[in-house]
Amino acid sequence: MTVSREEIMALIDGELSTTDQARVETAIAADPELARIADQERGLRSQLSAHFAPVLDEPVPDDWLKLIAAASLPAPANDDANDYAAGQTAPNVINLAEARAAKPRWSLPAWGTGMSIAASLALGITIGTYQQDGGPVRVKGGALVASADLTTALNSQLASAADSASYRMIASFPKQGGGWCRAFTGREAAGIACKQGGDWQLQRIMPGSSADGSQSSSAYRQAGSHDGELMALAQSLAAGDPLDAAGEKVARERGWR
Amino acid sequence: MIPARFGENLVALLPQIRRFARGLARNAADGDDLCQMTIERALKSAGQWQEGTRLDAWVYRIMRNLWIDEARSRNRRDKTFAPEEVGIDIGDRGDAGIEAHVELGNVGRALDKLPGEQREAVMLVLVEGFAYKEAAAIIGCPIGTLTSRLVRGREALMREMGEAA
Repeated sequence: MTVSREEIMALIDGELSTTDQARVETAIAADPELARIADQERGLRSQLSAHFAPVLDEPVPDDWLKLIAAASLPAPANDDANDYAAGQTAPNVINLAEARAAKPRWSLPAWGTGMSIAASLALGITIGTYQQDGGPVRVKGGALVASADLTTALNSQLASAADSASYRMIASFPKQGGGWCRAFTGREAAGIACKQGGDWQLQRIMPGSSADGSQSSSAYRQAGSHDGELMALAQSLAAGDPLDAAGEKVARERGWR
Repeated sequence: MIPARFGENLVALLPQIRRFARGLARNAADGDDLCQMTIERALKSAGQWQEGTRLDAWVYRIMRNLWIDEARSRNRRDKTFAPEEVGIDIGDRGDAGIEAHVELGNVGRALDKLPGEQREAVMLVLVEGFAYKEAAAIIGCPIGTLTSRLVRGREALMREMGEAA
């Protein structure tokens, strides 16, 4: 019985049925020439793998992670139902030129490394845990909005406020298409909220600094300080520079409208 | 926005799609450009991805098609570009090319000289580890076409690498 070179290739590629595999293996065991061909094929496969293996170890460019992180944000809120649950709106934030030119214009805390951006993405928007009564977030009309003391903080607290508050405001900035957004961080949650009508709609929500207890603590620790990531995300939403202290006061007086 | 899980899974795929891009484009700079274009296209088309189907095969198909388009337009821009860049059915390049590179003889050189259609088949099956059926679906060709390209590609690689040894 003889087998073809194609059959030997298919064996090496794991494409043979159990019966054919047994037949070809038997033939190879009985014929040194076939065994030599099989060795060649295995050798080729491993040489190719080895040739490309180093690519897998190259650090993934931050730009790629940022592209994906930016597209993972909800589309900017508008008067149409911004249905968070459906979440299928095509991203309109992809712009190669801008992405390539993306540099941290805003001098704020050190940027998250690629890993921490990836980690926050991996955390996803595990919003379920935030929706309990009295939590910082609730669902309203298909969107996530701030509630309780997060609303109070977003309405009134300035970025310069003392750290003893439950939340710390990282930045306030104008949104593309109009309106204001604020990036915040705190014990219960961190994220970006934009004023939409009477509510603060959450564009992004992440675990707060207290989330290192019962749930998946290593992942939370890895995401660590969210400031850098939030700034990166804020930049992709923003229509201009963040407000200074005086600007924030004026915006607050006007109810962030 | 894209579903959160889509983003996570795409991030997880980045190293391996970068590897495939490197194999298609044959150098790091072009490969990374191709990879970035692929990410952008995948994000833009995320709504077309069917939940429950393999995201990796879907993204590879996007990359492969982008590369074919890119290679075609380069070919139009620059007539001196070798025809195998286009990646569609083309014959062997001939002895002249083989002789010119015979002394280099390493895996990279041998791969560089493969016609695009054989190179993508070799990359998908031997490097990326796709089954014949999956690789054929990514390329959009019958399985028989894929396996015959694989056979020819392997033989050419062994000839190249053997001659250099």
